[in-house]
Amino acid sequence: MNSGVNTQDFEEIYQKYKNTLYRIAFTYLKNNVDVEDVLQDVFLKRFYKSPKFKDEKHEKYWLIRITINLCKDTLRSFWNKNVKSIDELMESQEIIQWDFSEDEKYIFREVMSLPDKQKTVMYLYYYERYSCKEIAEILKCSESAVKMRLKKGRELLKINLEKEDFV
Amino acid sequence: MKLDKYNKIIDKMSIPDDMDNRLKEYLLSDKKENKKITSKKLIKRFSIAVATMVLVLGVSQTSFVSTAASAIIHFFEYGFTFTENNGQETTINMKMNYLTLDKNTPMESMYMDSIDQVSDTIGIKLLNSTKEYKSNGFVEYYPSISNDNILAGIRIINNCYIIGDIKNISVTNRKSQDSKNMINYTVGENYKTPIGVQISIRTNENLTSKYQDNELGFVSENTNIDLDDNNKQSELYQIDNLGIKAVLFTTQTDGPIEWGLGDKNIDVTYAVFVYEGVEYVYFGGVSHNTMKEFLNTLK
Repeated sequence: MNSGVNTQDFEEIYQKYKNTLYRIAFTYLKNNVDVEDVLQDVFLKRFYKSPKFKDEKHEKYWLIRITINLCKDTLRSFWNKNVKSIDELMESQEIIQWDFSEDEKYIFREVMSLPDKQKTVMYLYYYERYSCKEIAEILKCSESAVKMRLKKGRELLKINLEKEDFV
Repeated sequence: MKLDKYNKIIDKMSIPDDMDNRLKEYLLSDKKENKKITSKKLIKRFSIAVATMVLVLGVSQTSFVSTAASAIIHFFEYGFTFTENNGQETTINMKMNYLTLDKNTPMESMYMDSIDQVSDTIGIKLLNSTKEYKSNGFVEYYPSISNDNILAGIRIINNCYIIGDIKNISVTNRKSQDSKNMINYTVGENYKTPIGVQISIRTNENLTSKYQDNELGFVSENTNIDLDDNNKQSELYQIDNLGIKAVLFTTQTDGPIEWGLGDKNIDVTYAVFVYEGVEYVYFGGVSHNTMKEFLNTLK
């Protein structure tokens, strides 16, 4: 490993965040080839160009934000305007490997059909258990924008609410 | 839908073992300055967009400053090779020079209102058409910045550059910096979509081989692709105004988001050429003849 990056530090950070960042990148890009490129870049930036973090929370915020920005760059790329359709995604190797039940496939399809902004906010709120305020800080948008995206996402998915701190 | 079902699905979406192993191996290796390009990425990058293309794309030279080399190559070059109707094989080289831009060239992405505005900003006169569709904020400006904050190149994109005979146009302005202006329209007789443009400028010859975070043009690295020639619609066109030849070809694609095609694929004609060291790529749901008429308006 290049000097200046401790192998143990690397392992710890990589293991801690790899799945979170993978999930976020996949919701945007819908294919493992582009996701792998983005994750390569994210971790390279983390180890060679990141700012000093106040704490672990801010490190994670930064990583999520960088991942989203790189995904958007990828989607904007001249050759990547041909994004996989939902039907193609559902037939892809990525879905097969996760071995979803029929029920799960149906829900996954519905979730992946949401616009990117809603998918991301839903994931950060329901799975990562961030508050709206924290999500707003991560995404650099207003708290009301986060709430609107959650509301819209729920309407589209008709989720039964189980979190009580959403107004 | 219950929350626990959602969470169970997300639980299953974990990084695949093979990707995990590759990432760890790469990130722990000593060769990180040159970003690894996997064969999968090359295939993915080109297979979708060029599924029905007929051109063989070969890159002749990409090497830059080398301490061992006796000659320093000051341009990035690639070539289109294709078989013309008479059976003759033709190669046309695209040679992009490294340009010096205005010292105040922006280092962050932004939207601008016209190609002329970009020209004024970067200090390089770019080709522009008298038919440019003027609407606020359609021109996207993307600098490619290395990890050391050096400008490697820039891309300028306007997916609604020329509207031709498209009718009933209305523009929905973006609601935030993350979203795009959208255009609603009725197709015309000659224009099924607007003609879009991507302009690519390289500025630092030391970086191109090392910095590959973003595309720096039509081709950003060594490639060699075998293309399906069953749908041959390629030709060379002499743009008399400019004294250069453009490569024209047609492929099936769904186009950029602004065109509003969704998942629908249509025939899209591309015109690619390099003029005064700058690469220009025009693309639209138009015939070759309509594209040629448009190319003749550039100056």
